[in-house]
Amino acid sequence: MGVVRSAITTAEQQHRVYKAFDWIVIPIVVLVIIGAFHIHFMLTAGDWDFWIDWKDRRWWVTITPITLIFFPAALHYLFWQHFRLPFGATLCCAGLLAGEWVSRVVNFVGWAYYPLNMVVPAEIIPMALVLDSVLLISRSFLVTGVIGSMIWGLIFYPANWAIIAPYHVPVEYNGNMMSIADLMGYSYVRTGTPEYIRIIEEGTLRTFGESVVPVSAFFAGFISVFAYFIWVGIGKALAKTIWVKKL
Amino acid sequence: MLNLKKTIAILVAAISIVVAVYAAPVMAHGEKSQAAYLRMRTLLWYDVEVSTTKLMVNDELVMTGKFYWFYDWPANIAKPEVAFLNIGIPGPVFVRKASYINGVSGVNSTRFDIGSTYEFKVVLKARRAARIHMHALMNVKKAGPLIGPGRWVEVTGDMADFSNEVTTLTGETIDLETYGLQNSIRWHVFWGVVAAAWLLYWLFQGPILIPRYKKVKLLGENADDMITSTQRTIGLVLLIGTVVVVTWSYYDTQAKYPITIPLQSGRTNIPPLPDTTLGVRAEVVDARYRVSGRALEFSVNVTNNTNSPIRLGEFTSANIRWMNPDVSTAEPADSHDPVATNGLKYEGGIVYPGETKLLKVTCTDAAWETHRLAKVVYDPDSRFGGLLFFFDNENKRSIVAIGGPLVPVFI
Repeated sequence: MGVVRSAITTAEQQHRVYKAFDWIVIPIVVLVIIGAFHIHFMLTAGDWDFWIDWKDRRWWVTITPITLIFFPAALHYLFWQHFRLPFGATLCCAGLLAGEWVSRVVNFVGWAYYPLNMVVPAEIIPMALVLDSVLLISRSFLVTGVIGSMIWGLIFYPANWAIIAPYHVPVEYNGNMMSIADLMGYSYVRTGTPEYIRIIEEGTLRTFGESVVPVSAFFAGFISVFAYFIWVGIGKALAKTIWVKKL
Repeated sequence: MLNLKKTIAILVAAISIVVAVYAAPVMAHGEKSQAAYLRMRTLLWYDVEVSTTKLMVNDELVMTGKFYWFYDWPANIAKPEVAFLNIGIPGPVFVRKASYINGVSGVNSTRFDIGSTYEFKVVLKARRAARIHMHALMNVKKAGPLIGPGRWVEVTGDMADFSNEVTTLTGETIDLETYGLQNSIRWHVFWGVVAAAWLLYWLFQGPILIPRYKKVKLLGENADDMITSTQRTIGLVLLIGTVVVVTWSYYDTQAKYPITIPLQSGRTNIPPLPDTTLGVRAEVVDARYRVSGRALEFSVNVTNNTNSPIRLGEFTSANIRWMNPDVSTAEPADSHDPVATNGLKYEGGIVYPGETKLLKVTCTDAAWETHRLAKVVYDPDSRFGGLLFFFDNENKRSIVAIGGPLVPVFI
């Protein structure tokens, strides 16, 4: 019986192999994350993220952070626990945004001819940066889950206000006051997405007057805390290293 | 022996050729695909017209017409408690400049009364070149789209010439095509660059996957020591910097746009038009669908409470019109407009004022098959419905809804 010998005999060769491994695996991982996270996010936050006239003060603010934290939390576990790399959330969110921009430009504008300003995705990078940096500073899933996830939910709306505020300027149209976002939704005909199908400004936060955003954002952060731990757990379950003994 | 690779290659090639040869542009909106009883007994459209069928980019088109919410609404279809007057077009070939129901603006969804008639008007502005089959359309919550008559419309010109300007209540005139886009892209690029810098910082730490994995396993509980104090400082700077930029951008935006409103989600209530029957009553006595003859035959008791003698000129249902040319004529507006120009015949003649008379009506046309209305006899609710148009001597119309059980005749 022959002796099994490694093909790698020098440190330089080892370095080259490690580098080649990175070059092969990282692009694949990035593409898989973009695809999987994109599908997940479109199925959960879909229309709220597609259309400017769905980005309201209650549902969009609540739904987006909660459903968005699933993949970043799972990848936090994978990258931190096994590699001590604190970029799981940013990788997820930047990948998702890259995929979304391709989809918006090619599908919504290129195929369906909607104006691009009507379908700009929500800005989610600041939330991801906060989650990653809290993990890096604290080196703790517990602290990241409690503090990072809460900030994650809280800063979503202010981080997007710079983008959506121009579309909330009022306009008088055929005797009605509408926001510019409402007017765009009305003007650019969507046969399958009638006005009533928008889930916006519904709820029981009327006692908070105009200040419904902080309440929605806090609630989003609160639920994100729990969601973070659940998905860290799922990440743990899926990121187990198992030696295959027999094929 | 079967060559697997070759077989797969041939299959892929064959499928590609079949798809490439067969694939054709979508020509309509599935108006025939909905169940026949749904199309006959929910929303009955009539008098639908478009102001033009050929126009240039930036030209306007006006679609007008009426719709009647059928009194015998199917039990398994949601009632129009919330509905929205829409247009069936493939994407925004047009932008909607205005829409009215009984003269009331249709920007909001509304509720409608079963058994009532409404008139509508939609003003559209051509946005891009296309030849499309456009429909009047009513979206009903939980019931879906109820499609009205379609018309072929051709738009020519260049989309680059299109503009969609409005003036805000703060006095700014904007083009909705591009408004706010630069600002959105600027912010996405800014945060994208920060994210890229963060990711690249870690990726350029050398080979990261295998060496770091091995080191983590080697250090065990002390794996956190792999993070240097410099890296933690960078993390702190990133955290503080992100929060500061977000806070600054929020207040800066507040200062730039001091007047903003939340998205509007109101509902309107619109009263229906006055009674369109003008005193004419009609009740179906019996109705049969003759499968082999593609004919609907029904007896109807008609009472004329008007001051003029009336005759039956038209029956319409599911956007198909059966005309009695002795009384009223109509021609198809285009190749896809189903008008049976000589499709309606009836026995019983003129119904005089104060008279009640039994009329035996036959509506015959291939449209029963081509528009899949004959399928009503196989539906879970095999009842029919439609509108009868009676005409007096001055061509004044009395429009009466009729309906009832439908019995097929197979032999």
